Amino acid sequence: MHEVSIAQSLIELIRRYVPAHCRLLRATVRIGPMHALEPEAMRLAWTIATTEVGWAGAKLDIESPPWRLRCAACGRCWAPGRVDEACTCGCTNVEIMGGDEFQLDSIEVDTPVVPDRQKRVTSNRTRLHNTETGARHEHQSSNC
Amino acid sequence: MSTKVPIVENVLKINDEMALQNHQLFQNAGVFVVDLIGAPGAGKTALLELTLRRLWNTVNIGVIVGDPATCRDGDRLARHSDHIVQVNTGSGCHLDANQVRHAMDKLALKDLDILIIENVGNLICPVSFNLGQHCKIGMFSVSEGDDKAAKHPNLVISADLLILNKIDLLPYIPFDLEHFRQDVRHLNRTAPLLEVSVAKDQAAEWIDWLTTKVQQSNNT
Ligand SMILES: Nc1nc2c(ncn2[C@@H]2O[C@H](COP(=O)(O)OP(=O)(O)OP(=O)(O)O)[C@@H](O)[C@H]2O)c(=O)[nH]1
Ligand SMILES: [Mg+2]
Ligand SMILES: [Zn+2]
Ligand SMILES: [Zn+2]
Repeated sequence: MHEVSIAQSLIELIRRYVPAHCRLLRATVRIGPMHALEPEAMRLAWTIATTEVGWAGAKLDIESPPWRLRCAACGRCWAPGRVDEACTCGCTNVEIMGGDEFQLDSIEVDTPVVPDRQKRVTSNRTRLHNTETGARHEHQSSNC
Repeated sequence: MSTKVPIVENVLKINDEMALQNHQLFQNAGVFVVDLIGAPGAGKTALLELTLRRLWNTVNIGVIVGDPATCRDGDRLARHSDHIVQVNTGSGCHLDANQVRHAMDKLALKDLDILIIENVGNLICPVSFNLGQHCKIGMFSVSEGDDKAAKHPNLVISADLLILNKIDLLPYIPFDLEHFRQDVRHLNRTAPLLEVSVAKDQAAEWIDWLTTKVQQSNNT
């Protein structure tokens, strides 16, 4: 059951990005078949791990990109059923181009109820933007 | 109202950061580190016993050995070296970089030439958790069946060296050696595959590989 420790590692990483007073609503991960994660086991582990840190109900979206291979002889690229599939040209020298993804893509947090005093100083949206999606992230998304 | 925060980081980033720190400590101490990964009973500890017996008077070898419970492997190895640390992981099915950090603190790294980390017997998640090692070794054995490399592509792809142990059992167990070799080659064309029998004391290629690697890392 390595899903348990992976869910815990994921939560530990997410905690770095969730601003104070915010709750995690959703996390999106991209995990290729290389890591042999069982989605149902992962979801169960996620439910337990999120509940432990007070984020019960947070959703986990798992994107599962397929294996992608490239033939060294003829250059064909394809998504095989098995990673050790040979090319249709007969060549077995294939390069693995994808399927090893193991990435936390994004999270969604709620907008907290902030005491009036703080509200006047800065809105949460602005604060979130500055502290969490500033220079360290290259991939700015439009709804941020 | 909700806010989306793009992240794009490795899921195990925190472990990777710790592994990088471990790696730096290994570099500073001048110790060559391997992560030995294989199924329960593949012969990992037996290989290390042989290694310690063979090399005790030429290089200083330390071992961190992870098991869910007991000190049995640690006790076996302690007969051959003073630099043994047993880690018990409880329900944990792999070692992580943090556990290795704590174990490292119990060793005089500066006195070592080689540190071998025997991971918890498991072919899956130890592969994903970097420990700061220089090389990853994937160990299979004949008694597990000839399909295990194909069924665990992550380990085969990630390994710098692959070992097939218990080849003394080939006459007694249906095991298609050619098929196994093909599966390995298909997934990893560069890592050497060493076929050994630890029980019969046939592991000369492994000893050569290890001593060569240590010399190479001393020279760089
Ligand atoms: N026939 C045969 N048996 C072996 C060989 N190498 C090890 N064994 C036996 O395999 C069994 C398991 O060996 P260990 O060294 O404890 O295996 P391990 O991989 O350390 O096991 P865990 O730490 O429990 O995961 C022991 O009974 C060994 O004697 C071999 O080359 N041939
Ligand atoms: Mg052992
Ligand atoms: Zn082709
Ligand atoms: Zn594990």
